[in-house]
Amino acid sequence: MLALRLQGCGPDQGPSDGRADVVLSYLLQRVLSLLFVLLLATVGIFAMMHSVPGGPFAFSQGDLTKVAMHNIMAKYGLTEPVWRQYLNWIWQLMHGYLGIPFEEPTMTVNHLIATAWPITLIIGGLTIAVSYSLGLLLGVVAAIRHNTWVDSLITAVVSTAGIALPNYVIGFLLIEVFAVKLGWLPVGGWGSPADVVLPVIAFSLYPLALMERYTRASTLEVTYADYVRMGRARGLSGRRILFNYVLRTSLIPLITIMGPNIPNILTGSIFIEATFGLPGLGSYFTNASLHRDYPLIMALVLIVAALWGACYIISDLAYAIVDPRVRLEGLSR
Amino acid sequence: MTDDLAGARVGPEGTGAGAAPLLEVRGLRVAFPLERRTVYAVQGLTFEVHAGERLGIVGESGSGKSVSAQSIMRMVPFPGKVTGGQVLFEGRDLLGIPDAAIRSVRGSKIGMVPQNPLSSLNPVITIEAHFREVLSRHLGLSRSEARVRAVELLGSVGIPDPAQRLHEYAHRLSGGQRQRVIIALAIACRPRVLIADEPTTALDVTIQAQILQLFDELVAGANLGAVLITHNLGIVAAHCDRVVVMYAGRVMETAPVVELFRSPSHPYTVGLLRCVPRVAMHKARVFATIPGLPPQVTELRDGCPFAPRCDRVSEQCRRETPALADIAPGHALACWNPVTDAAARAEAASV
Repeated sequence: MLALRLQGCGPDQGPSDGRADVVLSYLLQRVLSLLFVLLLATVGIFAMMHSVPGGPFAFSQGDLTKVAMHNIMAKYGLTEPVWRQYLNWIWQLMHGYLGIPFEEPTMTVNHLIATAWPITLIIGGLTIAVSYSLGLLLGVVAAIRHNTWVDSLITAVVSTAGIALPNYVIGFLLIEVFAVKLGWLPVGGWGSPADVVLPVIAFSLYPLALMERYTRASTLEVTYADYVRMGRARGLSGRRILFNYVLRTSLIPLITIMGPNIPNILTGSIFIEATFGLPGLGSYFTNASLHRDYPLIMALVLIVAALWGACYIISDLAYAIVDPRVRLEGLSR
Repeated sequence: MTDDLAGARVGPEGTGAGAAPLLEVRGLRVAFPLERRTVYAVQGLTFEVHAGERLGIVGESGSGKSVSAQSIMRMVPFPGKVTGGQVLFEGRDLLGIPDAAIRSVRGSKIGMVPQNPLSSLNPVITIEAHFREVLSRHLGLSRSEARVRAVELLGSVGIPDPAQRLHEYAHRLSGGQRQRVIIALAIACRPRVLIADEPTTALDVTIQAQILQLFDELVAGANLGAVLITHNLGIVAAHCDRVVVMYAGRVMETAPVVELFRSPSHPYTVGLLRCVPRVAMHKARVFATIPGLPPQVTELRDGCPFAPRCDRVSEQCRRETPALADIAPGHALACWNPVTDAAARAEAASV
């Protein structure tokens, strides 16, 4: 219903759809449907979370008497029926309050996320900037020089470092060389600008490889397209052919790769955080579920789901902007 | 090596008699070195095109027609290489000039119309942008000058409401309209030569007729020299002045179109003509064919390349390559045992 449609050929298509009101109402429709998806996702996760055996305090306070345990449960509202607990959670959410994390009862979930997520966002944002720009560049160079030693070298290095080796292995290697042996950069931790360098490098390798491979493949494909040959037959310069004919079309499919990749990066990685001792969001994903930290789990689910939804909306919009053959559908009626 | 080039030029006695030819291809050779073998796609092709003349190049798929056209503008796809010969245009050998110089010939002095109009326009830029880039590149026109000229050009190729069409993208146009746009782009800088490589294969029959009529008008109107590559002898009969019949990268026979259809002399030409389906096919409900497939030439050796499929083959055909030689003014032939039998000719010529 709200899908993008690739237009067929034919002169009978409606007028162009770049108008602002069309885009706005499209956006509104997509956001509403995202809210519905979020509702479903939270109901699902809430139900699953409560149906798993074991409770939040089963390990840490296991020796307590039944009465004491009941008091703790009652304090966090866990003695009420599950549907009631969900409604309570929604009620809190509407007021912008995410609850108290069971593991750190002196804080709120809001506070926890507000401290941890910015770190993850800085690392993630830099990672996206570095890996995408470098990946694109290397991919285009490899495609232009395809089947030469330049291409082989780029492909070999990128695949080995980015895809074959896990990023924490590279992370330890980077620490060993640049922090321990050379002493140029800190071993880990968070505080000074120098702290971002090694984690960003280690974290960038996989998305860089991803972008390089896809850019190379799609650029190579377009290089042999009929319209590129015709552009050359009209005497256009090599530069113009590369930018206006090859790259302008070959880079469009990369939006599809970025769509799900960006939310992945922006929610952090437990491996990178553990390797470099970063107090980011990534480690909470594992810890929260291990400790049945219900409020924290719910908050993280919400963040991930909203981020994915937003990224998909943005990538669909981006398609409609950069490719004239694609137009937004679902509101023409 | 073969020596079928000597004195084998297609005579200027054809249509554009007298004046020097616009475009002259001499002994062109193109080879594709592949990993294990080399394909010799064009072997000593020679022809000329005069102003106002439409030269048809016919042959089966794989006979080297398209590669020949591409090599005129030095656009043979990788790993193909021009290994010999000359392409003379305005007193220069296009095969020898620098890259920058050939780029200013492409699209400006020589226009090209491709096989598949559906995929030959850039999908992400407007029709106007196509015109703007070529007009500014070759003629230095400004944005507004280019727009005026583009409207004029689109009108001249029969696109209705051209000013409106300029803002469209290619996917909104029909196949015939796209081919018209491509033709308008090809003639935008008033070229002297137009090369059309099977310009109507991808279009349906009524559109084919319209496009070819446009092609005729443009050639006559601007006194262009035109090369029309096709495998359709019906198109040749109606839209060409002279014909080159190619087989396995060589010229088998060349003649003014009327002469070729009246007295085809090469067994291959006769075979091709016999294959044209006729409405009043009286004998059997079977299409005539030439048995076998055109060879992919991977080794150079003497002998007529058509010998394995020829019904008039002799020992000499397998041993020696026949040279292209004039048998009548403007009519040249490369064959040891030409068809002279009036009956066979008449049957073939009844197209």
